Amino acid sequence: MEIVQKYNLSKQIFLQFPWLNESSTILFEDLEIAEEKLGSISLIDIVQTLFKEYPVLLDRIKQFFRNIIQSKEEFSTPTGDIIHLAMYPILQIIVSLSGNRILGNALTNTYAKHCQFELSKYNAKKDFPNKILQNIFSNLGISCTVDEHIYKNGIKYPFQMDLPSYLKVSTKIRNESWKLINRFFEDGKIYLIRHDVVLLLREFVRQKTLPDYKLINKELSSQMEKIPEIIDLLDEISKMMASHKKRFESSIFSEGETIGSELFPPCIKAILYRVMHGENLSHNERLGVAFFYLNTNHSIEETVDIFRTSPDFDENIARYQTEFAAGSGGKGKKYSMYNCVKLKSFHLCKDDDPNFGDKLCRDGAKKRSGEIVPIQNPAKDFIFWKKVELNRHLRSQIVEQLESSDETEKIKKKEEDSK
Amino acid sequence: MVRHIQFPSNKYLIRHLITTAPRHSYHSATYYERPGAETMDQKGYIACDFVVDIDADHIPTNCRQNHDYAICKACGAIFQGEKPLKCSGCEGAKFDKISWICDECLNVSKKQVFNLIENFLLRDFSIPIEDIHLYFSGHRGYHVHLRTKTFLDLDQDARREISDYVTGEGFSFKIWDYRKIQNNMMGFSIDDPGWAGKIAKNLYNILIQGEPRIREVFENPIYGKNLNPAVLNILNSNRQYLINQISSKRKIWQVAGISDKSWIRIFEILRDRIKADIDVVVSIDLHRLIRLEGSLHGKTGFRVMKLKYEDLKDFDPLKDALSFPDNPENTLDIEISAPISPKIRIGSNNYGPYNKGEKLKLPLNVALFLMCKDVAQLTQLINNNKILLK
Ligand code: SF4
Ligand SMILES: [Zn+2]
Ligand SMILES: [Zn+2]
Repeated sequence: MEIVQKYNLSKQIFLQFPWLNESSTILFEDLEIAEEKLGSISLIDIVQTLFKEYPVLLDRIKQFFRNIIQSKEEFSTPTGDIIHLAMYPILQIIVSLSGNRILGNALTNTYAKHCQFELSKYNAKKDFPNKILQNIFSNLGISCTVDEHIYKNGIKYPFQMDLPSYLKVSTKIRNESWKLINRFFEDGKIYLIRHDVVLLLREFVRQKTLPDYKLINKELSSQMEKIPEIIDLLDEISKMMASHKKRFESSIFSEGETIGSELFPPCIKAILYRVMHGENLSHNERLGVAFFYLNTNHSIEETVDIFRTSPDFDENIARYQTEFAAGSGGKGKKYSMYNCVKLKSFHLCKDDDPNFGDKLCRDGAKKRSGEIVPIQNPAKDFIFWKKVELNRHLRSQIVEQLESSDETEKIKKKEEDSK
Repeated sequence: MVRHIQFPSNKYLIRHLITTAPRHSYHSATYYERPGAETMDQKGYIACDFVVDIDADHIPTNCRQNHDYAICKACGAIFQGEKPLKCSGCEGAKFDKISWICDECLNVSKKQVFNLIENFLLRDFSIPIEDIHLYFSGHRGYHVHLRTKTFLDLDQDARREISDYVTGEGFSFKIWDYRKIQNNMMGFSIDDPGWAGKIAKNLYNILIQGEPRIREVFENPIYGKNLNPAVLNILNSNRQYLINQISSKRKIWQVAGISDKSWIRIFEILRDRIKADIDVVVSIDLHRLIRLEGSLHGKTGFRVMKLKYEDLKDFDPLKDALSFPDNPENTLDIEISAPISPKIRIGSNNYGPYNKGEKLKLPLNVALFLMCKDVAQLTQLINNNKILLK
């Protein structure tokens, strides 16, 4: 129970939130595995032990996958017991083995939502007073202190988070209300209300629970795939996925692969890549990509299709939003494409990204006069200049070919002459 | 350009610099496991300084109009100030540029460094002064490096967020309570933390300085269009009302005749005065090259040097960053090779303007500056190759 004391968190909280650091210690205690022995036990042994010690584990895990594959990102099994804790490492292993990004994102969403749901109970039951939130953060290595006496403009701001921790997650929410400039920021700290903090924690949990797809190497995976329970699970999952083909189809895209037209700018490619891997998009990402599609002569149908792989996809909502973006409900085009300045401020510009980046975005386009013009709009000037670039490339290839054929002709001539 | 070099120690670096004598020397602001590797992937990223670049080049200044020139590559016609789209003589569109420095632009960048450090890094970010490393770039600007662990580990998104904060980018008037409540325009309170408070304080300071100051600010904004003259008049005549509202911390700033749009323009003009005018691209780059401390800047011959913050106020780049001692025997014979060589102060004397073909014997630091600026050429070897270092 050292852990419980160290973080001033009850055992119940560790059972409920397996993503907490050192939750696993509780599990090992229950399995009566001494800490000194941990180093000598292999991952395979642990997996086998878990299935042996907790017979209901297999069913719970199956239920978990049944839920997420049907886009139900919630636990329908108990969440505060030792089995719930034992599920977590197995789920991580299974998803890494499958290599499927859609499953991975659904897993993180489920844990993130569960955390948000539980911590929001504060108002009703005061199960989680502010102090406990502070202890949870401290367990995750995040400095977020509680001072119940801080008021700004008459509103109580009991939480103060340090800048690096805040930025680590706030920038991933991609919404202007999370921008540092739109926050109460003073003395290197961000002043937050409870609702903010719960949302930030949800985001931390999302990052923390993301499976490490490189975790399991070939050798380990072939050993894992000999464990009967694992075989059973993988088998069952692929059957379940087959019956939800539309959603899982596009996970055939592997890491680093580019998608779509060669004319798409980095920002759009990156969003499409994310949605193809089953990540939920922020409002701005959704609108950004929808505007882009609609502004580049795609139909509403094609635009709605982009979002099909989202775990939170809802045909009606997607259609409504897309039509809204297209302005087809009202008097023609209401909104136009976000420009690059906007996208940059949402952290959606990927000009320098190792996978999606493009020199055109980084350095600007070069006019024939030598003048450099920056890219300002992904749908307009990016595409225009990309076409110019491709044409120039094509032309230079043709010239090269002509020149090299000239050369061979010259050589031939010379050879003939010398004869 | 020679890149990806790694030295086992300072000694090797210095030997390399002596034997190759590069015109410009840079080091990476990033820490790598294998800095000598050819590609970024192989280098193994560890961390990166948070670098802020403030350069008069990126900030609009009036002096540029006086001391910069464009010379048509085709016909040699000279244009003062910004380069024209086309040469009025021959329609040519290619120009050589002469970009100069003077006290005005050097002061503008210095002022921005004070703004950045005082109002943002020390106050809002609460960074201890000993963690702020300040360098003169050797030309017309400064570099600020933050090297504490928390800054070293920031990812690109976080770096952009900090840059956006410092430059006022992405400020949402909607989120900050700027809105109409039953036909009342709500402004900000000087007690608001962060940007809302900054805007309220700045507006207050301008208003209490009276009409001439208000005109000066809103008729000549740093960026973008000036405020509509009719709105400016209304702002002036409601000066006292707004001063009262702000000083008594009332947020209702309703003034008949100033629309939402005009308020937003007013705020934008204020924002551009408050922000620290940094080069954002440098701050968010995780693989940036930075001029090497102690080397000479290839466009001026001035020293890239570390400064103590308390010395910044009296720091005079045109005197304190000169590379060679001001010994009367240290001279060089040069000939002006560009169509024009604008005036420059070095130390306490002014030199120039000079015209093409002028042959001059000048103090070493001055001659070096003109040659680095590519407006002059050496005509005679240095006193039989000797420079006095005292
Ligand atoms: S520069 Fe513009 S088009 Fe290019 S990635 Fe950034 S936002 Fe997209
Ligand atoms: Zn000309
Ligand atoms: Zn100047």
